[in-house]
Amino acid sequence: MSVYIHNCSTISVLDSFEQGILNALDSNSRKLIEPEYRQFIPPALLRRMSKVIRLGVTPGLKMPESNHVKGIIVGTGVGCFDNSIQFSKKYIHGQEGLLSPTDFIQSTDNTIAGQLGLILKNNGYNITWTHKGIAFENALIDAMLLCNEENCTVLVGGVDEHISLFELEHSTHDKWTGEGSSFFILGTQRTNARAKIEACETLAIDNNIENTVNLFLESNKLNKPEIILYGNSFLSATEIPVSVMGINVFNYSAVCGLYLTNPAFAVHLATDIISNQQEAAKHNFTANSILVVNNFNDTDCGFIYLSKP
Amino acid sequence: MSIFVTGMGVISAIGNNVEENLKALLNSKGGINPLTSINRMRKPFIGGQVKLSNNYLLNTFSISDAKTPHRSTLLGLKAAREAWGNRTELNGIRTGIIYGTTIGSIDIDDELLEVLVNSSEKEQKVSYAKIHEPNFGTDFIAKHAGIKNNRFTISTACSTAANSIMTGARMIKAGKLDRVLVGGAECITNYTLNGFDALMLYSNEPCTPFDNQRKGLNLGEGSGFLVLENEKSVSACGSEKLMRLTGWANTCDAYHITASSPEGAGAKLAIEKSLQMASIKPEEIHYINAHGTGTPNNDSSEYAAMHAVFGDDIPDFNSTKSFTGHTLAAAGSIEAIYTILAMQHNAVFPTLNTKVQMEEAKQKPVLELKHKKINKALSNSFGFGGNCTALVFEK
Repeated sequence: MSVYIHNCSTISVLDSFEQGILNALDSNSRKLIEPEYRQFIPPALLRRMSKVIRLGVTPGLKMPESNHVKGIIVGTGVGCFDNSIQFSKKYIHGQEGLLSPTDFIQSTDNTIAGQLGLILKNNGYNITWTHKGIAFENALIDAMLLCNEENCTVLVGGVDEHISLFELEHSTHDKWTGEGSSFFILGTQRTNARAKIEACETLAIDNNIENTVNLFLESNKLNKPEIILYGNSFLSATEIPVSVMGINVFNYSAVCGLYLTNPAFAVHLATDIISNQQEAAKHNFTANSILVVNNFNDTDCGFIYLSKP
Repeated sequence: MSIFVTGMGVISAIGNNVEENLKALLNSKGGINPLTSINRMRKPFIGGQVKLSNNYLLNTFSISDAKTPHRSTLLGLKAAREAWGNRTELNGIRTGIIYGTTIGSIDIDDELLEVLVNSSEKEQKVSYAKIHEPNFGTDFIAKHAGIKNNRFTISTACSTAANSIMTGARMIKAGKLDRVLVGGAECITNYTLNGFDALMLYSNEPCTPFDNQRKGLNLGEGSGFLVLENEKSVSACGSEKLMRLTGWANTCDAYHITASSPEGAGAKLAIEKSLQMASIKPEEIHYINAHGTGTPNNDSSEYAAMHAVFGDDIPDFNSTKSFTGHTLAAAGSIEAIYTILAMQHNAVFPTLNTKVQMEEAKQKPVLELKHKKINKALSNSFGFGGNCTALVFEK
């Protein structure tokens, strides 16, 4: 049950929103580079939106194809947790009189998908997945299902904001908390596709990652990929290896930071590599097949396999 | 391909298992009462509380996990165990779980939240890790049911569990799974009480769904779980077929982030699409378990949607939230189970407390227990964010 990626858009610590991930890969930033949101979101709505909602809706709104999708599917691990804290503070600190409901309204995770539906005036399928460090994989599996059921295009993405409470006590050069938002237009048509997603699955780690990668490849009848993009969406006690099964590994979470839906960032990077071989070659990334491995917490793992369409 | 419901488990304010819930529904015994044993409520609230304490549940299940599960997870486990029974892992039967709860999928515990808000930065980090576990309930219940892979966590506010059921069915239909445990759970917290109160949607009288003088909703707590299986799994596991799930649809109202459109556009579309999928005509539906929260906005919007699909002759409909309160993320699965019970026992349960017909309506919900044959039924679930889901069950 494969699908094609027709477009992608990412807000991250790189200048990815303007130029994609591959072209921005050399910058070495750890601070989110946010676009001018008002170019994409009606001002009256924008004023009331919390950061994660702005972050979540904008990549989708940038892509013109979003106006014609049959479904909107969002994966988010932390979701609108910050709004929950803000609302709780009000009543825990004993605020008298009426409480303002704004933070409560914005604290349900499905606010992002709901706002996208609202702005895009889309009456179609609308769902939010929240399985923490594999929330994006949950969303992607659903999106692939929907594309094939309805032979349609779908807007799907992963978004998480940085929450100060979530900061690592000891950041290292390759483990630090990041944030970002990556959205994709998926469809069943090969024409003009930038990449193909062959399979997406989450698995409980069976002994070790290498073994689990093998299980994934076998059960989906896939060849060994040429490159592995490997990262952590959350705290993992294990180091990211230099190679798996003799395949070179690129540590993507060292570039975008740890956040629960960062495999979405890796899928955008993989799409750039597959669809722009010339630029990819400059980074020694030439590949027609790429496996994204997300070791969430040393217990659960996400796998997304991309190839040339 | 047929998708069968082969297991059900429920816990709510009106009973701790399917049998007790059925008895209360047949005897018009509602569960909305003044809330007790919730610390630091800003003011008195009424709602639908489950009678069992956390300690009782912990002891019943001999839970000694390092991390004590929150109340919603415990309620979820109770219902999941009833639904799942003694099923075990089976070679060749691909099994999964889809579960959800609300509030940004955070299993917010009032006590922890208070610690979090009042503590120092460092202490906060510890509490944060304990609180913020959207997947905790899913993984916890999966572990107890022996489900290793295909674990999914969903969050679409008040339609969460309906979407769990729908996604489970879709995965079976697509051939990705043979058997799936689907549901949702919710406990009453200060967070949700204050939230709906701030929105001025909370009524401090028992809710009166579809009544002209309705004042709002009451929260409830509980959990509902269903087991869905394909034919292959039914034969391999020797399961009993309780009902078929034949139609489902998920749509977005795209009107307002919390309010429903006056004409119920999203709801109408969800109902139409689910009937279409089941290939049945509106007049074939014998009973509708409405979302019916008792808020002025939901009930008029939902009525408009039903009227748009069914015309002046809307099938017998009720809102069982008048028994349980609005159980948010659990509502979709608890009410799907009530729909199936209504079909099994050929009985439309009453809508409690409702008296006066809505001004714009041409009929009231069913107010007294009504016995009739129900072969095909519809269950509606709507939520914040414009989420609308409809499910069709058939004998």
